[in-house]
Amino acid sequence: MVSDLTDEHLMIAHIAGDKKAFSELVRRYGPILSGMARRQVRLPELARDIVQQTFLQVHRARNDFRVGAQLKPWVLTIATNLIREHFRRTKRRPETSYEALNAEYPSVEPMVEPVDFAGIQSRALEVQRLNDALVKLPESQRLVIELHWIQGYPFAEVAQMVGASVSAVKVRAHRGYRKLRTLIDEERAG
Amino acid sequence: MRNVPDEVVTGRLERHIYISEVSMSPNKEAAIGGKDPEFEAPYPEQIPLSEDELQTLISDVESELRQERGGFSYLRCLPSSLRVGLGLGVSALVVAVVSIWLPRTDLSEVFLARLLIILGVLGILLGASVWYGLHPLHRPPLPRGYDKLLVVVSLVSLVVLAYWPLAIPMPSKPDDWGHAVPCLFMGTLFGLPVYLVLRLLDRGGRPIAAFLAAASAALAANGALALFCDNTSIGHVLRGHASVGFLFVGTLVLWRVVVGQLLER
Repeated sequence: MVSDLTDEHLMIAHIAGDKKAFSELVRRYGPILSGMARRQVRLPELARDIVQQTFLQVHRARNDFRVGAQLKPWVLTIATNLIREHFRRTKRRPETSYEALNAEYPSVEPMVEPVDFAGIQSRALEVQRLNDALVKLPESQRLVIELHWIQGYPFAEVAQMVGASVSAVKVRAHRGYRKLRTLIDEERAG
Repeated sequence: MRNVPDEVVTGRLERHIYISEVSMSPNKEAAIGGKDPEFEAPYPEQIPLSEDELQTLISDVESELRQERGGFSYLRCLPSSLRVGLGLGVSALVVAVVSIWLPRTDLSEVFLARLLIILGVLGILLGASVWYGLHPLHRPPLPRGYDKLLVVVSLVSLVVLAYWPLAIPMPSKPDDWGHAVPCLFMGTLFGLPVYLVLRLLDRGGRPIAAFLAAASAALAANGALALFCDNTSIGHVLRGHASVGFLFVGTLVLWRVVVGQLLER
């Protein structure tokens, strides 16, 4: 059963020619990459295109994958580079039409006292505010926060993925988190 | 003064930020960003993908993978080191073929050191252009702007090399367009296989790769022309040799502009 294999074994099976292995990888990484792409580029169609391009690049680069390496950082680096290329090509910050993404969240009544951080996961409005704030960050800070906070990688690995020094990544993260806090507070203040 | 690890210090401002953050948190990893309890919690929600969306994605990706089979598509799937080797190999082959079958008439009399310096400069730039152009996306990105700079430096070097004969007096030869066009044609002919192979080796995803391939083709073509043509007058080399680079890159720029405008409509 391909579903019992680890990501790395699936990749090796794909390299060996197992067609089902790559579909299983798409099943596992599709949601992760879709979330990442939508948070970065906002427009669902564009995000879908980036996700497809990422899988295509994973396939094309399969012979560069080394046994013993971890697949997830490898895939996320490809996605990160494609997102950066997108912004480089369009020479602008992400599209500011937040409605496209926010429309996908269930509508809720505004909370009177949205200060309970522990319960944030269940609050669509908070998520919406957070996504709105994230998209206002500069691309470099947003990517670092995506990889550090959302994907859960330590700074050393984030630095490798974005091709910067650990100190530079920490500074970007610091500034990003600080700005994120300010933006969220401003949103909450109304 | 706290003892701050070197790797986290990039400047006075950053040092100040780091020190102020460290003083608030004992955990260095969480020092930046970890202070705020909201950002210590897991990200509140991963954007879900419905089963239908997932199935559509899987079928779309499978469809793209089917199109990848056959033709020359296997070339872009080769390991990166092999792709770079092939790119450089084809360039070297073009130069070697010209030097063996189409050598300039005065090759035995030419000042060897001068020729080697020209070929060396072109070779170094060619190596960098091919390596940059075929840089895979699963590796950390190269410094931003270096790739564009490399294209510009390659073109400028072709012009600078045209003035190189000034260092050693050479017999004056005609430098009009009539004598330059055959070299421009042959240079384009020498550069085309290099450009085509590099495009086939490219995995896509980086638009600048096409310009680096064009620059590489121009460099290889100029290397071949240095062995093919015995006319070293500045006007001729500028019109007939260096112009190959501007022809390759200029055509690509024009193509992108025209196609870009058509797509926008």
